[in-house]
Amino acid sequence: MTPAETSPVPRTIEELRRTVGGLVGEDPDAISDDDDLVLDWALDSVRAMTFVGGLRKAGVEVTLLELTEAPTLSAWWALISARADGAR
Amino acid sequence: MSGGVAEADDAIAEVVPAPAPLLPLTAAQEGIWFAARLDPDGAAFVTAECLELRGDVDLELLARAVRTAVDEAEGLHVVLEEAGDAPLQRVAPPADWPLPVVDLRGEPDPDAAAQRWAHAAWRRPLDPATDRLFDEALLRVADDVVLWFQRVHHLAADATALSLLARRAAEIYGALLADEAPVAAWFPSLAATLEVERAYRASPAAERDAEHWRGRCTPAPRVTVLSDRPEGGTHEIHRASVPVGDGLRAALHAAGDATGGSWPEVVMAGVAAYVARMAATAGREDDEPVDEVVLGVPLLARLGPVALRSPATMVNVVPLRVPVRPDGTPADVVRAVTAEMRTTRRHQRHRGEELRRTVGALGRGRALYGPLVNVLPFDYALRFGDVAAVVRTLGAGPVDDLSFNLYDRGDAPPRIDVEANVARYAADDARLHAERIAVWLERFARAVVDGAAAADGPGPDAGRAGGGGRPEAHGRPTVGALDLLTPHERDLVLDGFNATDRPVDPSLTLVALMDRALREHPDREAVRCGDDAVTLAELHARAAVLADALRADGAGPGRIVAVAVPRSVDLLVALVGVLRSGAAYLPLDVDLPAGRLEAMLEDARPVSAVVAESADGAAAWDDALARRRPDATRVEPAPVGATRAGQPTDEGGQVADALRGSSATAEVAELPRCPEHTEFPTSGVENSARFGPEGGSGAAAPGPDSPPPNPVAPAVPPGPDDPAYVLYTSGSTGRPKGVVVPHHAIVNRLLWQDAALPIDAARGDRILQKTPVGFDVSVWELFWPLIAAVPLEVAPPGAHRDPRAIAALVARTGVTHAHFVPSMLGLFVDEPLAAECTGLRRIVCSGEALPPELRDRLRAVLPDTELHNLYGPTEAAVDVTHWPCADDAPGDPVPIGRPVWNTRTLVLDPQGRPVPIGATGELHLAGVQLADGYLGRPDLTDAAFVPGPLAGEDARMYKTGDLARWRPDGAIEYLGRRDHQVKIRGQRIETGEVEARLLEDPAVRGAAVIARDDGPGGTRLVAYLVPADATSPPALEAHALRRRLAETLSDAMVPSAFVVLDALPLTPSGKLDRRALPAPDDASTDGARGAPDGADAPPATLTEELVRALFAELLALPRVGPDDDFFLLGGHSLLAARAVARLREALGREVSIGTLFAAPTPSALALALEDEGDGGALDVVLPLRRGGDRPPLFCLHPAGGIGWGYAGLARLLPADQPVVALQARGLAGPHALPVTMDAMVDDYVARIREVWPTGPYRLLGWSVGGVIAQAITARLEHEGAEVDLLALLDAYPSDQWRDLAAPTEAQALTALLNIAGHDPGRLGDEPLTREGVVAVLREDGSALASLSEESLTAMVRIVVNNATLMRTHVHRPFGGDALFFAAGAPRTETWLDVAGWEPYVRGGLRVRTLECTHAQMLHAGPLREIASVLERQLSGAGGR
Repeated sequence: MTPAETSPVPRTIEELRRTVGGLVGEDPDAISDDDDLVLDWALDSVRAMTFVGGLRKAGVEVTLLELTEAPTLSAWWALISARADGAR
Repeated sequence: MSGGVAEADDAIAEVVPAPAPLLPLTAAQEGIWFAARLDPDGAAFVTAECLELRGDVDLELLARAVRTAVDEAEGLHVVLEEAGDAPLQRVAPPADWPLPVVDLRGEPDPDAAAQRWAHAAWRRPLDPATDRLFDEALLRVADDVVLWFQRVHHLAADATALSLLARRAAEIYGALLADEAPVAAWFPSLAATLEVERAYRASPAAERDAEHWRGRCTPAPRVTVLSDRPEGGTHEIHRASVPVGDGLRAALHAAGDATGGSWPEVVMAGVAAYVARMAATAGREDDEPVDEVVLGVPLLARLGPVALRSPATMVNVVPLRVPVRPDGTPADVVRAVTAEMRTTRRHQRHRGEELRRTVGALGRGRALYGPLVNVLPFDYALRFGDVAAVVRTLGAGPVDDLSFNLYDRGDAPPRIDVEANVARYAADDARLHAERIAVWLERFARAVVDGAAAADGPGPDAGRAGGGGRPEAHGRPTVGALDLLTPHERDLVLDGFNATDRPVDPSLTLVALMDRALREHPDREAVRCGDDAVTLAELHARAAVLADALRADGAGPGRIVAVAVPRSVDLLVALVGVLRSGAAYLPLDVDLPAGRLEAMLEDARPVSAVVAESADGAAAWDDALARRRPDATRVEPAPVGATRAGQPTDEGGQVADALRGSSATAEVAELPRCPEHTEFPTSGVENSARFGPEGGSGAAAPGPDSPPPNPVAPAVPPGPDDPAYVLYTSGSTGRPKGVVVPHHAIVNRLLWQDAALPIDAARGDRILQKTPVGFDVSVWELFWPLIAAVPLEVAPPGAHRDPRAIAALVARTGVTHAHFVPSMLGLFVDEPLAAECTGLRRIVCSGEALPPELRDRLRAVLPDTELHNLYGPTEAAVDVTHWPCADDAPGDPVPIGRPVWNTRTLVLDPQGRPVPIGATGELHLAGVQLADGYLGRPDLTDAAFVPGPLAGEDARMYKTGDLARWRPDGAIEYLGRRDHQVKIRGQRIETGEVEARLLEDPAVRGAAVIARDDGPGGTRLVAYLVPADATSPPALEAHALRRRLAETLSDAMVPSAFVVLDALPLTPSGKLDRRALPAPDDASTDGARGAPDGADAPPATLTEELVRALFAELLALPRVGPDDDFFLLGGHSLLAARAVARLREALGREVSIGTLFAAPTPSALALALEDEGDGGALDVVLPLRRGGDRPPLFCLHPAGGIGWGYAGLARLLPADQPVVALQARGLAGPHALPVTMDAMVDDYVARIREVWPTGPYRLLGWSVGGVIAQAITARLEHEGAEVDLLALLDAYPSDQWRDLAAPTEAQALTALLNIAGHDPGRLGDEPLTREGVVAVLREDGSALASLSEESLTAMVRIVVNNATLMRTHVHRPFGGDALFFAAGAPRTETWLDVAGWEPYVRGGLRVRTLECTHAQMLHAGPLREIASVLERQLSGAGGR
C-alpha cells in the first residue's frame, strides 16, 4: 500500500476515493462524497502535500491551499478533473 | 448646516477617523502573552526566517513587494493595550517602518557575515508592549544572492503565517515584474480570524473536542523528560544541528511506506522510542518502567479558508501519548503514532492552553508533554519571478524542555536541530542528543523496514492502526534491542574515557615496595605517634621478628592474621609484620562490639592474632569489650583454628596474645594448629624478611643473635596474587562479609597515588593516619608513606572524632596530607583552629558525596590546600576514580572523577550494555584493583563479580550498585544507590543487616530501616517496628533493642530513632513503600530514657540545665533527663563535636570532647565541667579565662547579674590575659541582696582581692556594670591600690538615672533582653511578660533561655535591685582616667551623656563611638573593636 505520489491522476471519482482511502488509511467505501476529509477523516497536511506533489508532477496544477480550503471528495474531484483536462 | 456659529467650525472640520475597535486576543495570543510576561527575554518568543533568493532579483521591486505584503497583514500592526488582567489589541494603520538593504558583498565572508547579522537581528530584545512586532531587511550577499530576513513576535505570526507572507510577497513581485496588477489581497482581517475562533468555540465540535482531550488526559499521564533538573524561569536555549544524510532520509521515507505512516510520523515514533530508551537505563530497584512517552506536537490547527490564509498565530501544541514497549517492534511504535495522530487531528482545534488549564487542575505544576517534535516539511517551491526561494528557519518558538526540529524545506539540505532549555540541559547535552538522534533515527527506521518486511503481505489490514497484539516475530529487532550509542560514543565510553593502561611490574607486592623504600632510606623517620618514633630500619626490624613468630603459627601466603592493636607505632609493626609473614591482615577495630568481632573471627578463621599488650592497648581492648557487654564474663570459644582475641576473663583480665613494643621478642600464645593447614609450602625461597640495609647501620637487624627462622614454616614472601588484607563490610542479609584484596590490587592503587599526588620527605611531607583500621581508607594512610619513605604521623586513639584535636595535631606536627570523610571535613572546616593548618598541602576526601559548598568553604579557610575527591568501594582496593578539585569554579558540582591506572569504569544498563553519555546506569568496575571476592561466600562473590566481556581483556567486573553517569568530559558523576545501602557518616551500611538484627528479637514482628535526611545532624538511620504483641509498651522495647543492637553493630549502624507502627506501609505491588514511612516525632524516641520520669526531674545546677537544654536541641527531643545518655538517645560523634562546640561557647571556656565521651549524661557531664572550674557558672567569681600571668581583667556584671556576656571578650583578648567576671549574689541560690551600692562594692572588692591581692587592677563594665566598676576603682584607689584600666561600655553615671521612676518588672524584663543582646523593640509595643521574653531568648538559642523558673525569677529580682541601687548611689571621684565606648546608634534616652562622668573620673575620658546599639555592644563585631583598643592599653608598659 503506497501513497498517491506514484499513482497516476485519478480518472474517476471512484479512483479518487480509493486514493484518498489509502491516504487516510481507511476503507474507501466508508468515505462519502461530502465528508470533511480533515475533520472526519483526519487527513494531515503532509499526506495531502504528497498527494498534491504527485498531481503537480503529472501536470495537474492544483495548490495545497485549494485542496484544504474545500476538503471533500466532490470538491476535489471538480478541481482535479477540470485541471486535468487542461493537462491532457 | 444651520446656525451661524457652527458654520465656521464645519468649514475647517477635519475628518478624524474613529479609532479602530479594541479586539480581544486569540487563545493562542493569550497563551503567548502570559508566557512572555514571565520571561523578560523577549527574544525567545520571536520567530525568524531567512529566504534565500539566488538569481537575477530586482531589489527595488522586491522591497516594494515585501512592504506591500507586510502592510496587508493586519495582525503585524496591532498595538497592544492592557486592560485589567488581559490585554486587548487594536489594529493600527501601518506606520512607516524601515526596510534596510544591507550590502555585505564587501565582507571577506559574506555568508558568515549574513548569518551573524541575521542571528543578531533575531535575538535583539523585543518588548511587545512597546516595540514594533516585526522587523524586515534585505541582505545582499553576492551579486546574484539576496536574503530576505524577517522576524516576527509569536504574538503576531507563526511559521505558517511567515510562509503565507512569503507567498504573498512572491505573488506581488511576480506581478510587478510582469507589469501586471497583482491578485487582490487575500489575507483575512484580524476580526475575521477572531470570528472563526468564536464560531468554533460556540459549535458542538468544541465540546466534542474538549471531551476527547479530557479523556486523553485523565488521569494525567506521567511525563518523562531527559533531565533531572527542574524547569527554570528562562527560555534561553542551546541549539545543536546535524545534517540529515541521504541514508537517513531514504530510511525515513521507506519506513513510512512500509507502515502506512508519513515520514514525520516515523520521526515522532523514533523520538518517542529514543526518549523511552534513554530514560530506562538507570535500573533503580524502585523504578517504575517507562512504557509511554508523551511528546509535544505542534499542529497547524487551520481549518477552513479563513484560517488557512490568515497570517496570524494559530499553531496549537498538543500532547501525543505514544506507547513504547521495549519488547515491541519499532513498527509497532510507528503504527501507534499514526493512529494517535489520526485521532488527534480530528480534535486539533482544542487549544493546548485550555488543555493545560484542565490538566493543571489534576496535577499541580505538571507538564502537559515532554520533548517537542517539530517537523517542518517540504512545501512546494516558492518562486519570485523565475528565481527559486529557499527557506531557512532561525527560530520556531519557546522551548521549555527539549525540541527535536526536523527541517526539510525544499532545496536547502535537510537537518535536525535539537533545542534544549538551558535551565535543564548543558550545551554538550544538546550536542550529544543531536548526534545521537540522527544515528538512532536511521537505525530505528531501518528496523521498521526490516520488521515490516517480515510481516504478512500487504492487504487491507496492513495499514490499519492498532496492529498491536502481533506476537514477537523471530529475528525482528525490538525497540529494546536497538543500539542507543553512536559509534563514536561507544568508543569513548569503553575505550577513550578508560584509556588508563599504565605499565606496572606485575610481580610487585606491598612487601617488595616497602623493601625498596627501606633499602634506599633506612634511617628515615617512618612512623611517629606522640613521643614514640621509629625509623624505617627499626620498624622493619621489629616487624621481621614478629613475622618469624607468626610463621610459627602457620602464617604465610593465603593465610589470615588478625590484628587488634590501637593506633600506635605498634600498630604499624603489627601490620608490617603480618605482611612480611606472607599472610593477609585482618584489622579488628578495638571500638567494635564484641559480638561483631566474634562474628568476624568465626568467619575469617585467622591462624593467629596480634593484640596489643601495652598498658593502654590492653586496657583499651578490655574497656571496649566491657563497655559493650557489661554483664559478660566469658566469650564463647571460637572454633578450632582461630584465636580467641582478647576476652576479659574473671578478675585478672588477661589478654590472649601480646606484642611487646620495645623489646625484641614478640610473645605469641600457643595455638592449636588448624587441621587443614598442616601442609606448608617448602619451596625454599629465600627468606625475604631477612633483610639488612646494604652496608647500613641497621639497628636491630637480624644477625647471629636473632632467633633462627622456624624450620617448620620456612619464609615464603607473598606473591602479587596473594591476599594482602581482608576487610569486613556490612552484609544485606545480616552477616558482614570479608573482602579479600590481593597485593597486585593495592600495589596498583598505591603506585597510582604516589604518581598522582607526589610526596617527598625532603619537602617536609608528613602523612596523617587517623582513619580506623577497619576502613580501607586506612590502607593508603598506613602504607603510602612506607613505600614513599615519607614520615607517617599516627593520631592517638579517639582523635579521629574530634575536629579540634585533629586541627591541633596537624598544626603542631606539620602534617601535610590528611583524609576526611566529607561530613567530618564539614566539622573540621567549621573549627576555628583549622585556619591554622596552613601546612596542609593536600586533603583527600572519599566515602561520601562531596557537596560543592563544602569545597568552596574549605577554599575560603585554607586557600592553599589542594582538595582531591576519590571514590571506590572496598571491593576495588580503596579507590578507583579521582577528581582534583583545583580547577572547579565555585558552585560547580563535584564529580567522582576519572578512573585510576589500569582500571575501567563502565556505566551499564540492566542488560549490561553501555549507556549513552549523560544517561544514568549502574557503575561497574574492572581492572587490576578488583578484590578476589568475599571470604568463604562464593554465592555473594558470584553475584557481585560478574563476567565482563565489555571490559576488554579484563575477565570480570564488579557491580557497585551505585548509579552514575558520564559527563562529556570523561568524568563520572555519582547519582545514588540502586538499592538500600546507605552511607552514614561515611560508613557503608546495608539496612538489611540492621533489619535482620531487629527481627531476631521475638518481640518484633516486622522491621524496616531507612536513612532519613530530615533530622538534626545529617543523615540518620530510623527503624520502623511492628511489634509482635500489640500490647507491649514500645518505650521499653526501643531501649532494650538499642542495647542489644549495640552489641553486634557498629555505632553508625544503631538507628538514631525508633518508630512503632501497626503495620509497614506497602505499595500496590506489595513492596515496602518507603515514601510512606513517617518522620519520627518526639514520642518515638522515648525508649532511650533513663528513669521514666527522669526528663521531668528539676535540674541540680545551672550547668546541668544548660547541658540538658543543649542535648534536647541537638537531638530534636522535647526534654532530656539528667541521666539520659547522649549516645543512646541517638547522638553520634559528629553531634558530639557540635555539642562540645556549643558548650564552649555557652560556658566561655575549654571543654574537651573527651569529657563528653567519658560523661555522656547531663548530670555526669555537669559535674565533670564544674569540677574543672572553681565553681558553677553562677558563682560570684566566674573565671572566663585562666591562663596567663598578666593582671586579670575584672568584668562587672550588668543589671541582670550575669557575667557570661563577657566570655566573647575573653576570647578576643590574647591568651596570656586572664579574664574574671564578677556576678551578682543570689543567682545560684537564695541570698540576701545588697541594699546599697557600697555594700555591693564591699563584697566585690573583697572577692577581687582574694583573686588578686595586690594589684594593679583592671576593671571593665557594660551598662550597670560600668557604674559598679567606677565605684570599685574609686574604692581601690582610696585603699591605696593601683588601678591600671577602667573601661566603661556605654555606662552612664547614676546622676543621669536618679530622677527616673523605680523600675518595674517590665523594665526589668527589658533589661534582661538587653543583657541577652536583644533589642527590646523587637517584641513590639506589647507589654513584656516573662513568658514572652523567655520565648524570645529560646528562639535565639540564648543560654539564658535554659535557666529555670527559679533562676529567672532571681534574675528579675536582681535586675530590680540593681536598678534601685544605681539610682540611689552617689559616686565618689576616681583620680585616674577611663576608656569610654559609646553606642552610636540613635536612642530614646537622649539625656545620657558621657560628660556626666567628668566629675567622677578626674583623669578624663577617652571616648570611642561604635556603630551599634546599647544591646549590641557585647556582640562579636563591636567586641572586636573594643578588644583591640583594650589590648593596646593592657599591653603598654605600665598601662597608662
